[in-house]
Parts: sequence; structure tokens; C-alpha cells
Amino acid sequence: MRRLACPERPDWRAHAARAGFHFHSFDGAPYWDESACYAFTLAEIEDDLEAPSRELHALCLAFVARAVEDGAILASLKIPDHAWDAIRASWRRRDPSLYGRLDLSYGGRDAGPAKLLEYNADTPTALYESAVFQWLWLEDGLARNRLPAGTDQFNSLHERLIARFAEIGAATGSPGVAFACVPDAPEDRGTVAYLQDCALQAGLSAPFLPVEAIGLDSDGRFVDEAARPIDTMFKLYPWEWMFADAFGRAVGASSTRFLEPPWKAVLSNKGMLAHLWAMAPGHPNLLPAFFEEDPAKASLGTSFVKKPLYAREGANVLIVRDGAVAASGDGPYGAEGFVRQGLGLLPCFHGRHALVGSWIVGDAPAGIGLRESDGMITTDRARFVPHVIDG
Amino acid sequence: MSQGMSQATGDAEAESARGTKRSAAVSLVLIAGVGATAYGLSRLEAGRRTEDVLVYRSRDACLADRVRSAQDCTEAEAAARVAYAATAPRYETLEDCERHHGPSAGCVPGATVTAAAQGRFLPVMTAFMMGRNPEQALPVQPLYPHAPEEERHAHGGGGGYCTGSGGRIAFVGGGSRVQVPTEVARTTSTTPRLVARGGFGGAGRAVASAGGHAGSGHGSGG
Repeated sequence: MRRLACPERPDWRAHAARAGFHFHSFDGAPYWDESACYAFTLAEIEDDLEAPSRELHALCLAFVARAVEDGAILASLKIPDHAWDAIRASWRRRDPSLYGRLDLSYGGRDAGPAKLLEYNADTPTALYESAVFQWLWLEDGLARNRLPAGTDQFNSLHERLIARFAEIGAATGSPGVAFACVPDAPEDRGTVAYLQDCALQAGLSAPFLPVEAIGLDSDGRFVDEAARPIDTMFKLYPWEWMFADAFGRAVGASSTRFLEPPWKAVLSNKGMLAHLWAMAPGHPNLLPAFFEEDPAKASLGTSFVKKPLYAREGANVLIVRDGAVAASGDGPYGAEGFVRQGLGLLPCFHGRHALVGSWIVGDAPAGIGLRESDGMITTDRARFVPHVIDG
Repeated sequence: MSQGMSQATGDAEAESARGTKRSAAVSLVLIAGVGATAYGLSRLEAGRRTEDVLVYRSRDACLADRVRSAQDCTEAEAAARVAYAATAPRYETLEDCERHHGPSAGCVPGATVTAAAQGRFLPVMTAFMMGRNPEQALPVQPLYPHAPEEERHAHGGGGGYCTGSGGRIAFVGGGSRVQVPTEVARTTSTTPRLVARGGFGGAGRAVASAGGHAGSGHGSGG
């Protein structure tokens, strides 16, 4: 794994506009950054990232199977007990999942195995730029001889997403999926628009509705803006917020099927990391992790990361190294408690800290996307940097 | 970029057969191209079967149109009035009703329509819908103004009608002939439904106002 400097295309913003990539900058700073790319060998991709991702996801599913039947686990994750039935029922029905993103600390073959930092199993973004714009960047580079012939990329996301929507449509018998998110967040809306596009290409209808426009009728069915019952709803709005909202208690009794399904609430919760470690202690792709209330956390010594059970974009994360605070993130999270995880520092290339996001579509790995941060914590200021397979 | 449908061959065998780790093609049917933005997608619904229907504001309009017989028009209006009282959507508050059906069109206290709707609010029946010909065997349905608050803000309009079961009838500019999706034409509501809204989104707003990211460039995702 190497970080290669490469001149950015002077016309990449025009490419982005044509491809519908409207959130390539954030607060005036670039979010898409093609002034560099990461280069992997095929062995690094297949042996160090793809195979471990498959195994980690399978381990996570085994944990869900255990968690939904064990109130003590659900309580440890601070999932409100009114949500337990909905979560349990969705798992017993095997409600299908669409996608998720494992965040891995990986610095190349010589730096040791990839370590799971967390699983964005419920509302992952950075999807469109991984699946489409990164792919277009590679194809454009090949077409203009900026990249050597034979250069490849670990990225079958687009094909897999369309195929997965087709499977979900066939499995549910539903003619379409309604797509919901908070509409005034451009990154969320862009991610959802891309998934609508994939669903349409899979032969499904794909209407959008704002999260706040979701209705609940007197028969306990969730309905769209025209009061039509929603068979299947994709929501880029986290389960912990869904369950905290006024309609949260209606999820279990409704006939609506959700993407991601309620059982994903068990995985998008950092408390899951402590349970995974207890299930598979010493697993090469796991960091030791303990609930903050667990005295065993002392075994981590004076270098660790403290993470809120519920949080996103690196908010409220605290990194302690050799007993001193090395980095910390502000934010509104943490009320539900924390986990303490062994320190799995991100590899640093020319002063940039790189995080590998490893995509799961259905139950299979489908590609990666890398984000770089100036600090040790990957936040919403991170930049997306494309990757290649060149050896 | 290739336009149109891509081949969904994204399984491991296909991947290894072509010797790459990436998608063979990436196509975007909605979000790419000049003028296509992420917004307005809600208007696109692919591959629907449709029925030809007639929409009238009154029996007289039906008679004047001379498409269906006078008896059909009379019976249709009567059937629509019966269905209206029995199945019109019920709202807990006037505000809820107007939020969906629009402030100008008129929502009324349920008791003025039927005693069974005491304490609720109902939209006014502004039209009814029937088949273009008897052979279609379509049910007559009362229609209500369709002007959801979200669409009024987003698109400066809304407009048209909706059925009691929530089917959307796009705006008809004066004429009576409309094509509607088969599921809308054939789905009637048999029991009145009470719809509440706004029950999702509050937690996200609370986190945003406490310093989170929803409402900025980054929202609920991570």
C-alpha cells in the first residue's frame, strides 16, 4: 500500500457535474481529492481487506443472532426495550440488508492485519463517490493513459447494489422502495439519490420522501406523502433516532420493511465492538474492546480510544496515547455511554491519516473507499482519495 | 459514461471471469446529465400500468361531457357521496388535514359529513373518478384536493387530486380524461384512515441543534 502523488485533472469539476456529484466540496474545502491515490497489490486487496471483511461481517451476523435473543446484550447497547421486538422480529424474518461499511485501520502488508475500528452498518455515506466517481476517475485515467494499462480497482459496488436491489425486490414482492432522508443535507440527499438510481436500474420504483413527511395511518402502517402505504422504505436516518422519535414505537407492528432492517441497530452501535472481542478474543482483525464500566478495560493500559456508543463522523472520540490525550473530537454524543478500544492508529502517509472503508453489499465485500484526515480522528472534514490496484 | 441500463453481473464468478475487481460498467439513469439534479426524483416512477379514467367535479359536468350515460353519471355521483362519508381520510386536527389537502381547498369538521366522523376533520370531496367505459369495471371513487405542504414548498405547487387510499391523480387542466396507475384506479379505501405525520425526524433535529451535523453538509449518515 503506497500513497502516490498524481496531478489532478484540471477539468475534474466538470466531470463531477456531469456525473451528478454535487457534494465534492464541503464548506469551501475539497472533499474529493485526486491529487493523490492509494496503490494496493492484488494480494493486499484480496487477502488483507476482502477476505477479512467477509469474515468480520459473518462474525457480526453471528453476534446479531446472539444479541436479539439476549436482553442483557440489547440493554448493554442502550437500545430502548420498546425496540427489542422490532429488532428481534426483523432478524427472525431474515429481513434483507442492502449495505454497510466496515471502517478498517490498514497500512499495507508490512503494517500487520487490518483492524476493525467500527461498522457503519446502518447509515453509511461516502457510497456514491466510492461506487461511481472513483470508478469514473479510474476509467478516465486509463482512457487518457494517465494510468498504466491493466490498472484495476477494488470496486464492484455499482453492479452489486443494482443486483442487490433486484434480489430485494424479488424477495419482498414489492414493486418499489421509498427513499427517505433529511432532505437539506446535500451529502445525505446525494447518497440517497444515487441509491434511487440503482433501484430504478433494478426495475423498482424509487420515490423520495423527507423523513419528516413519513406518515402513520390509523391501521399502523407507515405511509408516503399521498397517504399510500409504504411496503419497503430505505432510510438514511439512524435507527437510534428512529426509535427515539414519536413513531419509533410503531415500527414493530407496521408491515413496512426497512433498509437497513432494524436488526442493523445492533451493529451500528460501538458497544458491539466489546461483544465481538468477547466472542472472538484475539481475532487478528479485531482490537480489544471493553465497555467503559468493565474493569477489564484496564488491560488496555495507557493507550486506548474512547468512543461513544452512538456517534458519527468521529464526534466525541477521545484518543489517549501513553496516558496523554493525543486527539479528541467535539460533538453532542456520549449520553448513552462509551466503549474503550485498543489503539489502532491509522497509518500516516506524508502527514495524512488514511482510513479504509470496506463495503459490504448483501453479505459480500464489494469494494473500498479511502478517506484522509489531517488528524488522527477521521471526521466530516476528511477527504476522499481514490485508489488503484497496480500489482 | 454509458447511459442506460448496465448489466447486473456483479457476482464473484463474473468478476473473476473478466479478470478485474471492478464494475464492468457504471450507468446513471437519474442523477447524471445536464439539468438532472438530485431533486424532483419523487416525480419519477417507472414502469406503471395505467387506466383511462374520467374525473368530474359534479354530475352536471359528467352529463355535459356525454362520455358516459346520464344514468351512469347519476349513479356515479351518488356512489361517490356514499363512499365519501364512509371512507374519507380522518385527521385529528384541522392543521393535519390542511397540511395534506391544502389550506384553501377546505377541510371540514367530520360531524358535518357523518356522525361517525365526530371529532375528526375531513377534506372536502371536490371531484369523483369513474371508468372511461363500463367494461373497465372500475369502482367509483371520491377525490380530494392533493396539496401536501412539502410539495407546496418544494415545487411551488402540488395540485391535482388524491383518492381516499392515497392514490395520486395528476392535475387535469380542465379536461375530464386522465390516465392513472392501475393500482390507483382499482384500490378503494373501505375503512377511513387517520394519518399522523412528523413522527420521525425529531431526534435528528435535536442532535443537529446540539452541535451535530444534520442540516449541515453532512447529515444523518456517517
